[in-house]
Amino acid sequence: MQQTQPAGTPAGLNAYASDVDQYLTFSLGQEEYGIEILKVQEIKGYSAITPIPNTPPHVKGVMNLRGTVVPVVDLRSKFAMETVEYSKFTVIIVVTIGTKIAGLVVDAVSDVLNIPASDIRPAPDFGSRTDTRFITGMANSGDKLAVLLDVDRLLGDEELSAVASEG
Amino acid sequence: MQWFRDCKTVTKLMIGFGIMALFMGVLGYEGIRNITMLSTSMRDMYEHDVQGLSYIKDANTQLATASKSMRNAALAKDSKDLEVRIGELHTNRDTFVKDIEAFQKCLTVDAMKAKALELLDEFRLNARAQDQVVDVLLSGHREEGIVQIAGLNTLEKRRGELMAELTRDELDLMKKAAADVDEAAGSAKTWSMILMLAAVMVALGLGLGIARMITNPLRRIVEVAGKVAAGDVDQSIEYRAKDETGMLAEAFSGLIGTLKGLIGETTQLVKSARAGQLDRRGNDGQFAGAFRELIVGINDTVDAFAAPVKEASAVLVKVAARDLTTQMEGDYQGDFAIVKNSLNTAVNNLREALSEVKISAETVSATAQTLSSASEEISSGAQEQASSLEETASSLEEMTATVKQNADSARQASQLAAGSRDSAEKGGLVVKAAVAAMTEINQSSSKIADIITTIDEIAFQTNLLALNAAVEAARAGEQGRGFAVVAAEVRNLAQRSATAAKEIKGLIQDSVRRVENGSELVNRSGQTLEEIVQSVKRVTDIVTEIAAASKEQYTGIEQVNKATMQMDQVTQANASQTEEMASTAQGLSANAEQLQALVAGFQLGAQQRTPVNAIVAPRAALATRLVRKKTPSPRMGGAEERPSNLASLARHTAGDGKTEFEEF
Repeated sequence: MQQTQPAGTPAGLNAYASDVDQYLTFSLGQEEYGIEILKVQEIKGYSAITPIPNTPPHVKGVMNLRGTVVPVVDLRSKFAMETVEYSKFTVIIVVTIGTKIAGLVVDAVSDVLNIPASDIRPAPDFGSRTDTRFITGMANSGDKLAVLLDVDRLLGDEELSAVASEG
Repeated sequence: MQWFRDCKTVTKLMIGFGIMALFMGVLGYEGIRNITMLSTSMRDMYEHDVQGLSYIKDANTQLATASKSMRNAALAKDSKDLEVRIGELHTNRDTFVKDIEAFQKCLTVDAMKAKALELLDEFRLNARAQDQVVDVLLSGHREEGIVQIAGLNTLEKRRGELMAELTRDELDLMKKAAADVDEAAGSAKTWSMILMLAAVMVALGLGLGIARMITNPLRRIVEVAGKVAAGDVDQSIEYRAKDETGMLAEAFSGLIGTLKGLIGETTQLVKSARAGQLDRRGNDGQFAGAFRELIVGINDTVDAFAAPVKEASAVLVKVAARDLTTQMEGDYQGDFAIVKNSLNTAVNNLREALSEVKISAETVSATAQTLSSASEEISSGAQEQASSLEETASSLEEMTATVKQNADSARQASQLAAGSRDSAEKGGLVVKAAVAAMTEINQSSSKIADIITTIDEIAFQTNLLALNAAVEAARAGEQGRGFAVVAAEVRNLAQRSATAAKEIKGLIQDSVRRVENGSELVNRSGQTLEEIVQSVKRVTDIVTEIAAASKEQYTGIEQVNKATMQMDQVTQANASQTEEMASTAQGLSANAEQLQALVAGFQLGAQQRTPVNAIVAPRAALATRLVRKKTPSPRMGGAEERPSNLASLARHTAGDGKTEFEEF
């Protein structure tokens, strides 16, 4: 069970400060990532994923979210990291991209952080696992640097079209 | 005797004959003397005795006649007859006187001479008487005369006696003479016979002696001559004499000496020539004529072949001094020309051959060095191998001992295992019970673990709830402020429950861990005991197997030991052989160096380089043979450690990488 002490001010009390964005941080392997909280619909524990054929490998399948079929993307696979066994601590972050919903399988969620825009540094260019077009920037999360992701760009149309064919 | 020998043959013969002549002379002289004596005697006899006798006889006759005449006268018829008769008487008396005178002349004996004188006297008396008678007669007184005549007879008696005596004397003289002659003849005969015998013996002796004196040396000379003619020159004639035979002997000795000298000289020349001393020439000064010509001829002969021999010798001396650029220049014929040509060809061939040898020697030297180093490597490798084998052998021996020990230990272990199996089984039962208890504990612990898991899930879900709340609060914005507080509280709750859960978890985990440890230990000990039992069973089996295997191992090891020893021997033999090879290669190298050194000493003039290709094939063949000798292993092709040496050797010797290489 991953429980980290948030270094950024926890969300809630200063939630409506306009120059402060709230990011939900999660971890994939050793690295911390963050996405805007407003994109997040909810956070679920792991539940059964039905695999769909003819989908890209990082699209693990679909799941039933209170009656809604939600495509699930394994971020590890998307980021070309080695896959791990899904446990009951595996978390699926249900995000909304426009009108579509998708689930992102991550190792664990950490915290919701208030990160002022001034603390966000631009993403450096390093040929790493992360494709930099969906990195909005970097910010401190605890003693680590969290990579802030742009969910819209993260999930391209192909995934959503696959989703659309189902949903 | 030597004096005699020294006499000339003539002299000898002369002496011999002289002696013979002497003897003969003596004999003859004797004979002559005797004959002379005889003749003298005879003459004497004749002159004296025979004539005397004749005279006496004649005188007697005359007397008788005278008497007769007297008587006649007495009887004379007439005066004339008387005259005649007186004349006859006178004649007879004269003749008588003459006879007596002559007879007297023949007389030598004084007695007879005296008698003769007496006779004469008597005669004269008688004569006177006669004369008286005559006168008487004349006077005519014949009867007186006859009476006187008768009276004469008495006068005539003495005369007659004397006459008879004289006659008898004469006869006696003659008889004596004859006797003397007889005696003389006899003695002469005796002496002559003695002399003759002596002469004969001396003659024979002398003859034999002289003949031998002459013929012995001659025979010796003939003998020596025969031997010399047959070739035995080592003869000498010891005969020394100044006679012809001696001179012949001397001359013959001289001849033999000359022959000896000639033969000696010739032999010396031949020896010298045979011993190769061609500077020696015969001394022709000590000979003359045909011998000298012979020596000179031999000298010329030696000259004839000394020149080419000398020149060949000079060339050969130069060749011996390692100068192979010389040639024989002289102009010769026949066999000498053959010698010259052959020698020149030989020297040329030798030079060329040595040039090639030089090249080959260099090659061989290089090859030998490479071979030597390769051999040394092989040798060292083999020695290493040998030492490894020795170690292996000793290890094997140790192993054998160890195996024996093992067998014993296995037996012991078997026994012990049997004992421990029983104990283990007992313990196993106990442990089983403990394990059962532990299992129950474990089950309850796992139940506790479930509890923890549940708590964990609760915390997790709570956290999710908190996060979801935070998300909703964020999405709600202004309106969600109150909810944000709730969310914050929920977050706190979640954190606290998480912390609590963690603590509980920690405690439970701790205790569970302890239990697990204990359970695990018990399990483990159970397993261990089980394993022990199993192991002991297995151990027993294994130990049995070990015992059996140890036996086999022992045998096997013994065989391996033997094999290792054999291998060791073989390896040592190999090592020594490779050492030999190394030393042989070194020797070859040394020999090649020697060869090079030897050849270097030669002057070979302009070097004619033989093309290398001509020598490549044997070199490559040498390399292949060397490579093939090693056990063929796949490493051979690679350029690694040892094989590289041989490969490089091949490369080195073959020079420019010809096709022979494809074998590699």
